[in-house]
Amino acid sequence: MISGIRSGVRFGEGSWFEENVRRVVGRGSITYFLLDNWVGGAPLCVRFPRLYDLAENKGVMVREIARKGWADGGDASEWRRRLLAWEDELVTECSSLLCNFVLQDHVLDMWRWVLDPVNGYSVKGTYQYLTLSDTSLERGLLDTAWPKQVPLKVSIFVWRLLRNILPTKDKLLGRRILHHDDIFYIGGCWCTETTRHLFRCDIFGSIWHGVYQWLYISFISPDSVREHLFQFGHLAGLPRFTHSFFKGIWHACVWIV
Amino acid sequence: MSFGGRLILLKYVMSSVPIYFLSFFKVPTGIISSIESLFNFFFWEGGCEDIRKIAWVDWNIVCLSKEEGGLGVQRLREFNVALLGKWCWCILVDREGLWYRFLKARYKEVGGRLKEGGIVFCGGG
Repeated sequence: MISGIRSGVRFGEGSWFEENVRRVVGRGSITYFLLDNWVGGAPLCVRFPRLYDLAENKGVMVREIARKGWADGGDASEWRRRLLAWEDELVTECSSLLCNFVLQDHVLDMWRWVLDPVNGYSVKGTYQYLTLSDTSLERGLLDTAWPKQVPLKVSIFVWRLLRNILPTKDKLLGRRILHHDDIFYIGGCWCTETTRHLFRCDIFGSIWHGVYQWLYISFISPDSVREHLFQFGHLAGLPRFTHSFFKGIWHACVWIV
Repeated sequence: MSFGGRLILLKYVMSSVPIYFLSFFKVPTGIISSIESLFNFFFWEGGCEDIRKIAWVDWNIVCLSKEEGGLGVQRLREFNVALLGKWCWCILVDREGLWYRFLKARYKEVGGRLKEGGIVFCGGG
């Protein structure tokens, strides 16, 4: 049970948990100087592995070091042997990291969750962090498929349209459900039925024309479905509050088509 | 049942069924993939075994959030890890809680932390 949790956190997703926990030092009496992640974004034992190996007392607390003064390399602690020149430089670097740090005697040491320093750990926030992907190029457009005023079935239809996964006849052909002689569009024109076609062909294109005339706007229909939605939703020169209205009309039109 | 109906049922009922177990046990990968394939099967085919239907999109895309162009279905593995992380956080913060006292009794406490080898986070060690 417990080892399950440990491996879940330790090995499941790398060390995401430890990377997001910081020690906030107040008194410094219950924070490990070398082992805890309290200054500079990583534990000192990770940052200065050499010094960690050489330190006599690895479990020393921040407060004890602070009493002796950062200036002595923050490590007035004893070394296992005399330091070499380049190791002395490490000590200087280490103490320069610490020189501005002041302990606050009346504040206890605390933990901080980096992803949400105010409220601490939340399952929701962590879930979002873990599922974060870099492939969110289409952000902002795809979520326009989910306005509140539109029924779910229409939203899902638009989502499938934007994802280009409606079962149009060219798709069905690709999956060998239909034959070649059956792929022509029900609209009666002689071309293959595709999603894009819903916007371009004579019959349905004329519906869009009707809509433009009704709204008194001139509109050049872009080639791709996504641009169509984007342009229609953000018609230039109109106030912002009309945008959602236009999107609503767009959704309605697409659904009817 | 319609596509939208299945989506709602999947998101709010079926994904919440395993939450209790997800919140305390690390679920093996095999189990997760078999649960997810059940979800997938239900979502695209309506759970009806006679007629094969097409899964039009990859399950990973269905699981993306709506802003990223998915349908916002919960991903079990990450959700599992996030729920378990809550316990680790409780160890650090909630020192008076039953959970920490239980672990302390079992694994002993050293210098304000649980003993190494006992549990998650013993100061980066």
